[in-house]
Amino acid sequence: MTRHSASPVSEADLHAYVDDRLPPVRRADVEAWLVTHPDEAARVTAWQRQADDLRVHFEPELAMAAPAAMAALFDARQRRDAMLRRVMQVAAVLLIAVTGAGIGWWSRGYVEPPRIPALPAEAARAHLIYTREVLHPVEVTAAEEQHLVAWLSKRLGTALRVPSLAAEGYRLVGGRLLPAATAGGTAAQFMYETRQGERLTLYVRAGESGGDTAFHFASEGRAAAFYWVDGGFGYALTGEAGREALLPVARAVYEQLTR
Amino acid sequence: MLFRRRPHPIEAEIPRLRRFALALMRDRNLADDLVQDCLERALAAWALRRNGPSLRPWLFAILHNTWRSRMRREGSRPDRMPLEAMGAEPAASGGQWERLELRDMDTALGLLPEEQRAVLLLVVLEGLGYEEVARIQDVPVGTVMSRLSRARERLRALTEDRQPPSGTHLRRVK
Repeated sequence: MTRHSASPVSEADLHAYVDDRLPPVRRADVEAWLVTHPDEAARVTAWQRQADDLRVHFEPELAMAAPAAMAALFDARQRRDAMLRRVMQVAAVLLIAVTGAGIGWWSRGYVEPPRIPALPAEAARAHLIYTREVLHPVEVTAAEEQHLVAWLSKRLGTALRVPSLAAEGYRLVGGRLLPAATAGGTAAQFMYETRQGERLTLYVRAGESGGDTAFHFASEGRAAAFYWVDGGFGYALTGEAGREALLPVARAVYEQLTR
Repeated sequence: MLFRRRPHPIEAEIPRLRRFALALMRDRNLADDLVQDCLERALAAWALRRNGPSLRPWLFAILHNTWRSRMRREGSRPDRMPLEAMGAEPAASGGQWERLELRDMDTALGLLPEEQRAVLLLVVLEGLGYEEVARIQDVPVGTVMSRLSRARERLRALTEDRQPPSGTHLRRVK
């Protein structure tokens, strides 16, 4: 018989054989070895009989119902868990009720102040309305830039500067005066476009309350805006080409206006 | 009962725990007392059992520890079944033999040192692997193998002594 050379059969192999824990190849080795070792084969047979006897002897135990004391342990556990869940539920409801009542009491007589539309939202609305215009996108065109700047500066009450965005590929189209929701009530919009007709707007709003702010970003739908407040004026640069495209232009605007 | 509660996963293992404890202690009251203790410990530790060993080896480890700490507390008292009891077995003959042999098995089991008995029961009755038994007893696998070997050989010697007498009673001398 040609077969792989088997390593010697150990005592542990014999137990693993009886307990059926050998891989098939090793099992065959042990079986073959036992044929030529009758004394060991007799031991193994005795062990197998012991195991069968043990199982037969103790098998009926598995059908026994658990004593009441053990079942009670799990009943108590279940009751405790259910009770804990109930307590947590009640506590949660109470917390909500108490919080609600507290907020109600605390905010009695409280009237919500008139909300000033956020700068970027107002700028975006104006952007979306006028950048779609083919015939009248601006009131005063860039051809009359001096007049445009003087007029809007007067209406907003500050000397406006119009940033040049030629380096970013945008030329000034012109501008217009708009009503704003702030106390000052006026805003100016300057429109720029690329050679391909992609448009940006710079929205300047007078009457910003609150202090200066850092450079922020907001987007809603297709419109994205970088905005900031400086010296009582809000500025928002709005475009539709996405944040990455808008950022360098917004930086250029910011630098020119705050310099 | 209108509402039947959902059984806890541990509950399905109770028959096995009780069977092992009975085979180990050979007294039903003591065995059930041990299992009760084990179940209390298991329930207390249940929340901490995360991704640990599978349920059965985990429970048997608790049972084994409970049993061992109880043994330590009560001191290593002698086995309740004295050796002499073996000799007091009535001679059997004919169809009665098989039942008697099973009772012999129980008696012979009682004559094994407890750790050996536990290994044999965990391997044969509960079908646990040698490594699992080593973890349960907190000993090396080699110790489990030698305990298993000694338990089997002792049991063989004890039960072979009790083969039905066929003329001359031949004792196997080792």
